[in-house]
Amino acid sequence: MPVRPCIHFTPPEGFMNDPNGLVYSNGKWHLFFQWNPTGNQAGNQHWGHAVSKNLYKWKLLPTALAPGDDHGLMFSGSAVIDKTNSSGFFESGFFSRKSVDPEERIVLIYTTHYDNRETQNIAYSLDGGITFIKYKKNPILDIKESQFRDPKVFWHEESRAWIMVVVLAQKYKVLFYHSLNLRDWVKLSEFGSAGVLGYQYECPDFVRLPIEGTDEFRWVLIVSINPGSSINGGSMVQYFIGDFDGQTFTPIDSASRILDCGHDCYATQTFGNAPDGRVISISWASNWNYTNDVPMRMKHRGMFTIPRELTLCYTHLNQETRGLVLRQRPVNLHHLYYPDSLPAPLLLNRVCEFPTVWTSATVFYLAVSIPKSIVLESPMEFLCLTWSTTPDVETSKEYFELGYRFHDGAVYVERGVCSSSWKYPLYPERCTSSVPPSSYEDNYILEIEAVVDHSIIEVYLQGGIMCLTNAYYFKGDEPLQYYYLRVPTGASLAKSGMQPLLNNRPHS
Amino acid sequence: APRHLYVKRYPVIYNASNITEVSNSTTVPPPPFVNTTAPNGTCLGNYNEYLPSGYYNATDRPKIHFTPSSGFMNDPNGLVYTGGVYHMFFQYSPKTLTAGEVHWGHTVSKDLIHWENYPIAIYPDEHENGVLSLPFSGSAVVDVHNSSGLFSNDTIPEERIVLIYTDHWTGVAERQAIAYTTDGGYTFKKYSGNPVLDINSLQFRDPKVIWDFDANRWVMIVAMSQNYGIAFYSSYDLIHWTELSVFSTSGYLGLQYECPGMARVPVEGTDEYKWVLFISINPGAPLGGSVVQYFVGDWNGTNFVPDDGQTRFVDLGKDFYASALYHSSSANADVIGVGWASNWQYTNQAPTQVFRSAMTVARKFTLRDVPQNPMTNLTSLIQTPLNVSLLRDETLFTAPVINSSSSLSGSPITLPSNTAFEFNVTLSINYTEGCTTGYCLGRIIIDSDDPYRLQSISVDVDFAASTLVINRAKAQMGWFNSLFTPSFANDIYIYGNVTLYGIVDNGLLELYVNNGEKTYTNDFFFLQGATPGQISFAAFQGVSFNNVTVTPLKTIWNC
Repeated sequence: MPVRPCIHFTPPEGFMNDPNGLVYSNGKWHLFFQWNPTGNQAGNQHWGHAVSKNLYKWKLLPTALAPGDDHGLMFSGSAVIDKTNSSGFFESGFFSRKSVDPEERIVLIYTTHYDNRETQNIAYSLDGGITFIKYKKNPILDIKESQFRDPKVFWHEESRAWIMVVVLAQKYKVLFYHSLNLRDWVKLSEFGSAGVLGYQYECPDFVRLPIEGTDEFRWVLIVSINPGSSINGGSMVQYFIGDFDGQTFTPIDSASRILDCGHDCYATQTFGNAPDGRVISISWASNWNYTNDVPMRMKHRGMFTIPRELTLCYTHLNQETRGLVLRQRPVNLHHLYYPDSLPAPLLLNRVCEFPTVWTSATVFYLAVSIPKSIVLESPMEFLCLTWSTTPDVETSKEYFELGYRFHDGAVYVERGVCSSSWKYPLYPERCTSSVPPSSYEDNYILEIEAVVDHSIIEVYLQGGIMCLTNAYYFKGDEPLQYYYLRVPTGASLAKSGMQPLLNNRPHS
Repeated sequence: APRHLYVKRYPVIYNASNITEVSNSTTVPPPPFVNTTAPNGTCLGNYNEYLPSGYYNATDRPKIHFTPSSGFMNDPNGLVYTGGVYHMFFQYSPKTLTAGEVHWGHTVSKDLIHWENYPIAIYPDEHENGVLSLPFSGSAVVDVHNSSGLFSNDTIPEERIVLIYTDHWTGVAERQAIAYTTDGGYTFKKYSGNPVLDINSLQFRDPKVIWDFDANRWVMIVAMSQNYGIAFYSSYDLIHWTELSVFSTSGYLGLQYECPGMARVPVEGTDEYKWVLFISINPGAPLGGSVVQYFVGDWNGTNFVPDDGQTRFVDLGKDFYASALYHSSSANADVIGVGWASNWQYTNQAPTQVFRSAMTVARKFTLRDVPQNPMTNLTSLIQTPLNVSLLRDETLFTAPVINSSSSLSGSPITLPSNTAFEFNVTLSINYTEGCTTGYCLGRIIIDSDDPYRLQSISVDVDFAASTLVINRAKAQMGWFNSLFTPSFANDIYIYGNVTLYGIVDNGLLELYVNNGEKTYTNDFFFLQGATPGQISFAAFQGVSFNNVTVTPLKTIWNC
């Protein structure tokens, strides 16, 4: 039975981890990824490649980067569109070569990994992204360090220059570099020793985000940590909010903020050159504590989250303080709605079948309202939304459950497994966290959106100010196809629905 | 920030005028207390009751961890060492098993491990219409020089204990108040001029007061909880307070900051110190519920200046909260802390019968540079349990080596029933024997003593994955709570052998890794009547347990 998700990107075979080189070029979204085409565990890193017009239906393209004769591995990095040909790679020249369309001047910036050295390198495409040529004078940046990687490069309009953020992973530093031509880099500043450190920093991303409801923006530095997650071990993504003057990132405070509170969200990257100034991210939906050993029922390991739009918004952190937080929302799910189908409202306190088959995913959304006075009287009651493979939800061995307690905002996710199914000591079956309910008149309100796919469920709470991304690995022969929704006494559904989503797999 | 070598100094005495105390007629009178030794074979409980012999033998009650005789307990408060005695106060709801009408309970010890109960120290205030304001968390100091003017010469300097607590009046305010004793700590009187600090806030609580030996004044560290601020105030008399600064919006924010503490902590192997600021968060811990974080830096007399922007946690288990620090009149006393061994996500439902929750053992805090990866060491808080060794009974089991080919591997060692114990072990790895993630590990299993041994907790150290997994999934069979996280996968950087010291009691595991570099405090709940019954050490694929010892610990309770 297939366990390949329908709307989440997976490689055709082999092992996949970090999304790399996310870039929008000439109407297409390019997705590169860390890929081992010859094995089912991490290693032999290449850059795989896919393109999409809608961020869900992906078409595979040839491998973009492969290790060269020196056997250096193709570690993570980013991509830019060199519209002004600052690098000089795209000129018509003596040989009368046709100039490359400015919107197709893709340059990849990646780390070459050797046992005791990591350097930054570039490659460019003269055919709109089908094939890539490594720059003959690589590396472009070599500071004689063994843990120096994951360059994220973007055009900084105010500087009229390229900016690179890159990590000295095991020194807990994010370094900022500046270049006019993508080849010659000058160091600007460092940021580091901040937030949760874990074992090392990885996969930085740096992006200017609008603050909803205002004309203002802030810069957000995203740093992945692995291992050493505070969320029950393994991999985790945190972010810092601040300002960037072209040289230095200055955080607005010393707070440590977590991008996703599930177990399976890592190496978050944003698309370069996205239209209309949008910021769209994709993360790897797995965890290094167990990814090399998760069950394989297809020929691959590894998957990505769906694309998410990132913004900053002010939210009530508690009764006294409104603070800035990152907000994540699924991108354009309505494009995936089955033609002519209408969302079905969710029913309470009964086992319901939802129209899933192996070839579709489903999005659930609901808003639950409960009087504050009732929460005061019965503080320990939970809202529970359970998805199950069988109709006997209460005794099902293969289920996924989301629970919420309005009294203290406690939330848990449980991915149940049966005794004969995959068990692994580093795979936590339950995680707990907290997010305050919002307040409206005399009621508490909780908003939930859950994208339910095969092997993965992404939960977005309170419009995306908290996300919980968790992969699940059932061994039974049935997909999740029943749900059971129970709310605390006195609570009501303000709105709800479930909507089947079209299969977008490139393979089957 | 530069490191400072502190020189011991004596405080300058501030001559406050004596203030005559006026009885506060709105105070709820305490129940009668007989100031006499309890009858033989009985103990004094925490609500001024006498307890019969064998009272503390219940199988759901920890044997070496402090628990209230009955009712609900949470934050340790007012830790103070004076006159050779350690006082521990605590948030205490004596009439219910859930947090509610909080008082300050009181217990004392000469050695930080055996406790003798004293009467309730602070009662709620009753206001018009029977509304109560509650004594929330706070601290204690010894006003040896009578800076407050609250004492006469009849109270010897080392008995001049002053409690500083938050008066929590729901919907009205949280204000700081003080109380003092003239009978060595048996009873306390509230200051007639309370509150001593009122900023007209509903979220202003948990004052920790220390003596600043350099500035020669009292310093209060107090939480502006839902503004994510820790405010610093100074005073020369414990009564009049001046704001110094606010440390804010750092580390994990969660919903709010609570129970701050600050101390000058020695750096091991040097004669240097760094200041450490502790902040508790609830809810909002990364594992869910409550957690304590700390910041390392400097105190310049006015501001706490952190060395960096790092987020650090004191304990990496799920059940360590609101840790408090002992006050001493000595500038160079050890830094000693106690944590509440529970989590607000589930503490009110924990399946114990007469009491709820326990304190950790007292721990000494120091600082050490700890390797985080091959390139970087970080200044980290080190925790060392204190005086558990006083409880050691005859060693039950020793083994120089247990490896995968040893017949001892996985063999259960029977433990005495209803008894706490400790284990010591050093794990090492021989990589040439092969090492596969998830299987290259040493596993310690502690089974219950119920007939079928269905219940257990376990600790795995996986050298391939560099993780330490604590599993309590089989320790909630008699009680289910969705927020009681069943297993914890903790990443540890293994740069040599891994030493584990574990204290296992009824319902509580305290695990100290690599001599206190990381600690994990986790509750567990066996079925009614069951207690730890067996322990086994199972070695797989190249892992060895070395220098294994298992030692029962005598109960701290006298009846």
